Amino acid sequence: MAVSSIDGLIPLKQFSPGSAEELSAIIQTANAAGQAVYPVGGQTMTGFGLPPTKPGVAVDLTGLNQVIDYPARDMTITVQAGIRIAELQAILAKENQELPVDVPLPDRATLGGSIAVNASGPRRFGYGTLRDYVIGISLMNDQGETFKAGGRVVKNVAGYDLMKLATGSLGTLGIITQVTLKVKPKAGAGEWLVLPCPEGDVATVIAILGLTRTRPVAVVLKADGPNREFTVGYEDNPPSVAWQVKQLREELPDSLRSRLGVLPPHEAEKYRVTQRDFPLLETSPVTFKANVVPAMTWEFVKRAGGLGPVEALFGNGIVFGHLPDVEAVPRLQAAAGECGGNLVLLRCPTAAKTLARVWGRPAGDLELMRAVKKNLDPQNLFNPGRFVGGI
Amino acid sequence: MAPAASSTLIDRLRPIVGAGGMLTSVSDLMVYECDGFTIEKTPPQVVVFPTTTEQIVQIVKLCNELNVPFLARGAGTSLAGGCVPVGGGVMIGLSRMKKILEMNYENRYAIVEPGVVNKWLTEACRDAGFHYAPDPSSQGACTIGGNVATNSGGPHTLKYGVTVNHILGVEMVMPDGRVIVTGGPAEDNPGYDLTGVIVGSEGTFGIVSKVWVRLTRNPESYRTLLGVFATVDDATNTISEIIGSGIIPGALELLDQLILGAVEQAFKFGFPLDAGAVLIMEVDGVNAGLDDEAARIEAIAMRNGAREVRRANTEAERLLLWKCRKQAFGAVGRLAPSYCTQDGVVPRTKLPEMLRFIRNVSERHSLKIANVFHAGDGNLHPIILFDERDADQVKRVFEASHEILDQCIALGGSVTGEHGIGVEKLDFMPKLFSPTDLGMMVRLRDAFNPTNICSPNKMLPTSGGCAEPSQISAAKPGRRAAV
Repeated sequence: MAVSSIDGLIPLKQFSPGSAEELSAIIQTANAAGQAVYPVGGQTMTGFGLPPTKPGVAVDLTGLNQVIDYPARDMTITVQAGIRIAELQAILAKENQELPVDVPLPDRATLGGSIAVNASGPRRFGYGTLRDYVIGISLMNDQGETFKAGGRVVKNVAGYDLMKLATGSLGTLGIITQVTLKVKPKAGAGEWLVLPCPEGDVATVIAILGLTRTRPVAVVLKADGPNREFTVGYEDNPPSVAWQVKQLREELPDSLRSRLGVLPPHEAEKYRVTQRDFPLLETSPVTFKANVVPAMTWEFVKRAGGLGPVEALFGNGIVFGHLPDVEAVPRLQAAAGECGGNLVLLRCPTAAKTLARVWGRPAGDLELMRAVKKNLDPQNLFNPGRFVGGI
Repeated sequence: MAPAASSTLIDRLRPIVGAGGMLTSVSDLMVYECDGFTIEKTPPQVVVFPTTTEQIVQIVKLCNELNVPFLARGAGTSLAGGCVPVGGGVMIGLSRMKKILEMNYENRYAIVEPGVVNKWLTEACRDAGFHYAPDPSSQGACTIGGNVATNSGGPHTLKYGVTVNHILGVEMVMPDGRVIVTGGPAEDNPGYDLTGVIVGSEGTFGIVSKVWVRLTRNPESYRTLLGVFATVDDATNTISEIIGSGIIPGALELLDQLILGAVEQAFKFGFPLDAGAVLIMEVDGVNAGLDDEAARIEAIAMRNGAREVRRANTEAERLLLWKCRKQAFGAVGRLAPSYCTQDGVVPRTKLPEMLRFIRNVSERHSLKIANVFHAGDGNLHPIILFDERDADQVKRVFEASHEILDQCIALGGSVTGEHGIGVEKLDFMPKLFSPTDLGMMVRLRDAFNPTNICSPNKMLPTSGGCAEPSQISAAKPGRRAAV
């Protein structure tokens, strides 16, 4: 798919390399010409970050999408980074395995792009995020040379953990070309429960879910207008899931128990898709992601509520929300700060982008981040100006 | 500038930590000349025991002023020479920074000082129904700071992940004395995941002075099984099939006949001494789901030739079984005067092949090799038994170790799963990584530690080829690093 512009940066010459060699040549040419390189995957979050600060070329990586090795019984897979998430999941599903990270818009999103933006979703409460699954990585540096870290085994402490550094780096340290993932067997059973909840009862439900004997893999609170609705997901073997559903029902007070619904499989699937894709809904011009201390999630949702639909991943303190404009952003960023975290904008009209709006409060370790960027990408070749602090 | 004389250094350090916060005598320093890797030894010029971050800052700034290298040390249980003070300098012992600063169950984290012993943390939150998941076998002694440095594992990492999966943030004194905080109790902080890359950096990025760790709710219940097998092959085939069947046990640990003998002498558990190997197989989670999983595991073990599968019927029995496993290394002392533990990793399905290779190495070099390891992860710990007074045996131990680690690489694995590179495995880095890979890692280290004054000559081999490897004794990998 053509990349017409990134935040108004045009004209943008575009390349679609079919091999690492081609990618290397593109990087070397751009570097020699003093141009920037803007890596693109499935273009689900191309607008994330500040506008580019340097003319350059876009590199579409969806052509690098081969499976390199899938020793299913080792529960690892090595793939090129341009593979789309849905395709990856389909390959894993044949062996009854999965990458248990609910990346939004998986039909389009690529693995490399998902790692660059640290995509996650509802089941992160039970299974963690991409940083927990990337066990090996190859990137291409500013000279067009491939460098790697980690390996293909699930436990490995040889060398620095560049997998963590690349995850959430917005492609600013090099172009991710190949990834080895640890994968999981699919759970034998799963149930999704829905609990519509009056505002006054939300705190009660949160308290119950905090102490429940059950072990949900996902707890999501959706707030849209006056409606509040919890979704609780369980995955494990069948006897365990059956017990947990029964147990949660028993733990709820009568008034809430009668509202609790167990979703039939096709309904559950629809719910899961809607919740997974919520952060990338394009119904409003502005979308935020707040990260707060988990116990402050409801407090933050209360402050953000009423401005637009909100989805909160309880237990992780992650809140996504859509806004009609950027007016409320400073207030919400202050609220996120008071709740022990921060707030960034995933989507925002280019003209309204400022450093503070897009990335929120600067981190205390920003100087060190700058030093890391300067040492790994001294020419400022990759995605210049788009990341935190204008990195 | 030449490094300062010891006397100046000591005189300047004394006001920072006080006379009671330092060790300077030759006999005291000898204790700190190595860690659990005893082949390479260098004493530090002085050991200091700060009790606050501010004291660490002052020590680090003084070291910069006097151009003296420094490094951190926790409990010294590391097995790859990570806290050998190559080239001397100041050792910053963190064992007096041992306060648990905050326990926050609502948000499932704790803030601890680096000298907190791993097991104390789990004990401190047990009554609240939580634990700190990474559980290295040395957890009764090793510290959280040391765990952060080496990205430690342990038996239960098969299901719960290693240290890095449980660290939310750190406070670190940088090699130039600045103090930074990365991460914290909120997840997904914008920016690079510096916490993630500091974990496992083996102390080469700075001195971690405070750690935010994740607390994990205790499983509701356990089923702990002991599979008894006539041969190691039967046990490893069982491992492969359990993992392949889609069950992720909490832990899956193998002990072979040699180690069983030593453990049985020490703990009198009642292990069958004629067994070729036993497997500790533990599933945990919601009680309602466990009988099902335990039955499936038992069936797999029996199908793969298990002589019997026993169950730990009480919590006391379970804990004794785990004590046997975790203190197996200590029991090895009954088998030989010295031993050398390796830490190779292979893809799990290559375990049977790898163990056959180790048997072959054992026979060829006439060395006894015991095996006790994290089978579910493919993380091997062959323990080579020897007598260090016999130079020929020592030479054979080196050869055998290197052959085993080379074979791990050949099978697509790694030379260290949880112990680290330290000084011991520097020579293997170029076998695992290309010059470009290593060059980028050096660039990363330089962002944190540009003058390499903080724990020099660890993790990454020195570049430039200043010395011919042949001129340096193969028995002194740390020396090679220092060149």
